[in-house]
Amino acid sequence: MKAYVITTMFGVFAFNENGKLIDKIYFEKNAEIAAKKLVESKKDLINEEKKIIETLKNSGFDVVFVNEKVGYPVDKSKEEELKAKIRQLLISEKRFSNPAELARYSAEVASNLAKTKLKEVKKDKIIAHIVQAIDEVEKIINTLVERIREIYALYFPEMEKKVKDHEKFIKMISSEPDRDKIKGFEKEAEETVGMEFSDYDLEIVKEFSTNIRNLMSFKKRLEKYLEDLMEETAPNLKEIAGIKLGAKLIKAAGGLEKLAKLPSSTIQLLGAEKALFRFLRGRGKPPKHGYIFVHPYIQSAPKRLRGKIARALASKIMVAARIDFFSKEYKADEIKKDLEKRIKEIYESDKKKKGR
Amino acid sequence: MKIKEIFPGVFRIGDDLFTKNLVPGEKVYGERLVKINGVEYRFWDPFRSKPASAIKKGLKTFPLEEDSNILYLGAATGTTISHFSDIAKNGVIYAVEISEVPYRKLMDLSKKRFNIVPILADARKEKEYSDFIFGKVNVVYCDISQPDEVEIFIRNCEKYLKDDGYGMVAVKSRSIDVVKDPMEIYREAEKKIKAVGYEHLETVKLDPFEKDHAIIVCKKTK
Repeated sequence: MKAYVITTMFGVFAFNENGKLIDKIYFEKNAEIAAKKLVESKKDLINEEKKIIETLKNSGFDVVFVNEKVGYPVDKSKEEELKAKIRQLLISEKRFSNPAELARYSAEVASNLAKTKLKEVKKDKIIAHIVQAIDEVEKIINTLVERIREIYALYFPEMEKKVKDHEKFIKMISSEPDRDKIKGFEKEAEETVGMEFSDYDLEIVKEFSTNIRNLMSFKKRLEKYLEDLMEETAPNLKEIAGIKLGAKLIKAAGGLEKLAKLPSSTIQLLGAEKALFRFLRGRGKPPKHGYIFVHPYIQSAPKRLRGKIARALASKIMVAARIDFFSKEYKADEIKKDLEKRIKEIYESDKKKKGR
Repeated sequence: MKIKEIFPGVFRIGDDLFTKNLVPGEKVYGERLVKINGVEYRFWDPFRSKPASAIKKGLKTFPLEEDSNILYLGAATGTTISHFSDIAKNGVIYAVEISEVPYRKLMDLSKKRFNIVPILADARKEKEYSDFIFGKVNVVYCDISQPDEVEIFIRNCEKYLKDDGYGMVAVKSRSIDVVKDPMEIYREAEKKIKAVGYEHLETVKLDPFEKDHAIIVCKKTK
């Protein structure tokens, strides 16, 4: 005779072939514990299940599970029927006074189950935010530098014009804004057409530029942080695509897992959605590359080869992302060799064509 | 002001739709609250909630009742869910959402509205949340913007919907195929629903509230 065993958030229940309850063990009425038991029972036999199986076997039943269970026959056809019975039982045995209370308890168990999922450490989620943060900080720095340059040009236009590099400029005026004291610009200071600044004005200039300088060093720190994160979560992807590009792809796909499950053609066009849909609607040419456009292999290639190279690159990025997500071995060197070989082939076949 | 109950739990005051607030005094997403004769009503925004826009556009069958059990796929942050929980105040709403960020909001909502069961799962894998659904539901509502949305909806109906229950799908034609004509996509969705033997009741297009969307209502008949 068969006995059907079903594990629920309320406990483990066993029914005979006619749908009559033969055995049951309730879990403690605690949402946290119930959620844990549910998770465990998905992986392995839990104690309650073991106990029920033992008594069933002793009374000569063949155990069939209603929910998935490794090592036991599974028959799902009775699931709905038995669950309805359990629901009645819970109310009639006064485990729950009414259906509303039962729903309340299900909600708590579901929330607790989700909590374990939410609490999981997922570094790729941080990566997605950090790569955006870097872009944003950079944008802010540029805006502020433009502003301080305009201000400083009122006072010392000659120097502002000469020092083109933002970082150098900010470094100079944050350490010494007074034009008479800046080394190497004595002549310009003497002949300047700039207006006079008071000490108060200079103080603000100094404070302003110091803050920008801090932002600049913060950006570098974020970049280092991103590098470390990528090294930890996706070393192969980092090697093949580069730090920022790899991170952008993770962001665009919505996580490393999703990226690993994307086909290479999609990876090739991530970030070119606008152009892709324009093409699909019948207007415009199909895009050749999305975010991967910034990769040095594509940047250095002549325009006519970029499509081919983008395809080769995207396929290797796909391989790298999959290794990172699934096996976590380091194989970037081999992938890179393959990729370089393929790119060489592309160039060579192009040369032959041209020679003809 | 005149209050007219056009569907169970759905009220028309003037031109606007309202539901009776299950948790008086609490706003869910910044909506307007109106108190009439000591009863508090929540404004149901047709621009933010697709069933509301469907009702505004003349939906004839709205299957929710006071004690309906509902399976809601694609719950998001719970804007529509909150109105469903106003309407089906003695029922249970199983809210399935896959994404973690909106789920956190949904979880908070369920702490105030006791008839919501928030489930963090993929609607595509309907077996994974069977742990929480005891007994079949009266209504399946599906709003998930996936290319295979209709198939997912049908699988869920087959597993969880009562034999005489109702199904509602909000079809976003653009996430099924951007190139095709929306009408064609709605017709195809209807065909798929009819193919499994469900009775197609109506299709309501949602513009101007939502572009290229429609709600399809069907009934499971076995």
